[in-house]
Amino acid sequence: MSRSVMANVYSRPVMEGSTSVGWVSTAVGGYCTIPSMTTQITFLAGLYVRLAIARVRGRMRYRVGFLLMILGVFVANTFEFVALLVLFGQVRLLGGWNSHEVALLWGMSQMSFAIAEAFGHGFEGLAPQVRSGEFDQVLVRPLPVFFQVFASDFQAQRIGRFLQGATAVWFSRSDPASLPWQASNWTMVTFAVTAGAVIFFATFVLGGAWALRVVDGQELMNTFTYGGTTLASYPLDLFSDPIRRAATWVLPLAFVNYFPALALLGRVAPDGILPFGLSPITLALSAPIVALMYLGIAVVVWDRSVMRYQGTGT
Amino acid sequence: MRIYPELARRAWQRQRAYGTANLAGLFTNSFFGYIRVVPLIAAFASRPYISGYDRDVAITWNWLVQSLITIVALWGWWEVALTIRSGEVAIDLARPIHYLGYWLARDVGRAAYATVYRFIPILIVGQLISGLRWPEVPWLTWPAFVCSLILALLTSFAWRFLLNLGAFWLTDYRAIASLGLVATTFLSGFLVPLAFFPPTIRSILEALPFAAIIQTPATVFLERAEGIDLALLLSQQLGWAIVMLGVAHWGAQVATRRVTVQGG
Repeated sequence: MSRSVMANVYSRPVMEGSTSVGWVSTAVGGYCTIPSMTTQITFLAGLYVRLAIARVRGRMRYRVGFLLMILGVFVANTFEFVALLVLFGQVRLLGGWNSHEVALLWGMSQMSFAIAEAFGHGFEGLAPQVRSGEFDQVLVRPLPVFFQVFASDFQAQRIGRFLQGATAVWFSRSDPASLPWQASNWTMVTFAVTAGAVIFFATFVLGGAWALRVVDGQELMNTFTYGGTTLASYPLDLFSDPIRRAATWVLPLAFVNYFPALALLGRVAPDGILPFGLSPITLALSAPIVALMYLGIAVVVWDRSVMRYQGTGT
Repeated sequence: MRIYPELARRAWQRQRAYGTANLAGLFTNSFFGYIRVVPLIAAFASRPYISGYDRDVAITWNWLVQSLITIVALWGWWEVALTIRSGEVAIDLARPIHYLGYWLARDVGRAAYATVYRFIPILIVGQLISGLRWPEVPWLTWPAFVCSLILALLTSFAWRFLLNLGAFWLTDYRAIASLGLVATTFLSGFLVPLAFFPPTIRSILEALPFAAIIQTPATVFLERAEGIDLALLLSQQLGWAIVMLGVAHWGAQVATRRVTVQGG
């Protein structure tokens, strides 16, 4: 069913704007000689919104199932969070962090990841399409490949995870010992969660690029996506040095929540964990730049993988 | 009667076709094992014992449960439901073999593969990364653990089979069934040892069948139950395995009668 909906939304605007025949579909942005970059972006954004709405509407036809899915994701994450609180029922501190402080890390990591999952699921589900050869069809359509994969699966049900993350942040703020937050603190949380969503999204893109090259490697990518969000749910300073470095310089998880949380909670970081000895606030504020750079790298890698794509022969 | 071992062997071979995927899965399991062991070790920085677990016991618990989940397939197993959806179930039912037995044999083959290619390697990884506490009374603990593992597989199979049967009644079964599995990870003592819960909740959770899936084999391996306690624990697990398989058998009969009513 969703296939036919897709065919519909794809074909109409392309036919209306018959001037835009010059799409080059391998590149990320695609380019076109006639319409300007702005026209293109507006066109694709409009298309994305239409596809996302179509997807949500499709899901809503099975309303109970859809709501149960949201509930399922919420409950699954709540269980894991409660398991953490059970551990905190036995000890007051984990590596010097109390339960409310860890809850802030947890909540921010989950909220970022939920947004990334909602938008990036198309890249995550690529492996079976590559295996079956379905992905080849994407290559011949007159739209940028990146956009098609990006728009192929908007997952509104991930709001369940987002709400659980928000609950954890709320729990973190319920600590009577903590200082009241100003509007600026909340702004910082919003910024960090948005930057974190971009970082996780870029990881999904890299996962998609990986799937184009290694068909059976799906579970390996889970290490970086699901494993990444789990890692980020705990204080980074608990982990060994190689992991800390990898989470700062390779997959910049530390920018998702660890540096912002240090700044928000006024915690002192252990020696050598802050790059260039910068202050947590500076690092927290640079998170959006880091996120965009990382996304840029992911997009380049994706592009190269599409260029080199050979298919599986099925 | 040769048919069931043969089915199990085929299921084992089918797993072998996914060699690369298994390797990737092994890597993921090891990574999660590491991430989850770190906060646990941190918890023991301030006190030597938590509910009778010392640091080494807790570390071993962590790697053990991480390796157990592939055997009991807690991350989802929908093969039965998929055949119900596709209609293949009609062919399965027409076969002159026991329906539940057919699936059990296949699951045993899958689990045997998981034991060799996931369970053992992950324990080795755990030994290399954190160092594990191996049984101090090996001649008793290992046989008891193997029994407990088999009973855990039977209980988990029956529970997963029941969740799959939901597909006979509901088109939206998947969401509910997934919720059932997710609850199992928590209730079985996979996310945190059941011993760490407050006493009342702990005794309730230990009485439920879910404990038989993860916590019981872990308790046996970690030698947290000795003598008569060990015997009682294994009998309770045996009881749950029988009850759950019985319910699954009854459920299959009710469900398959439904197929006949619908005409397939």
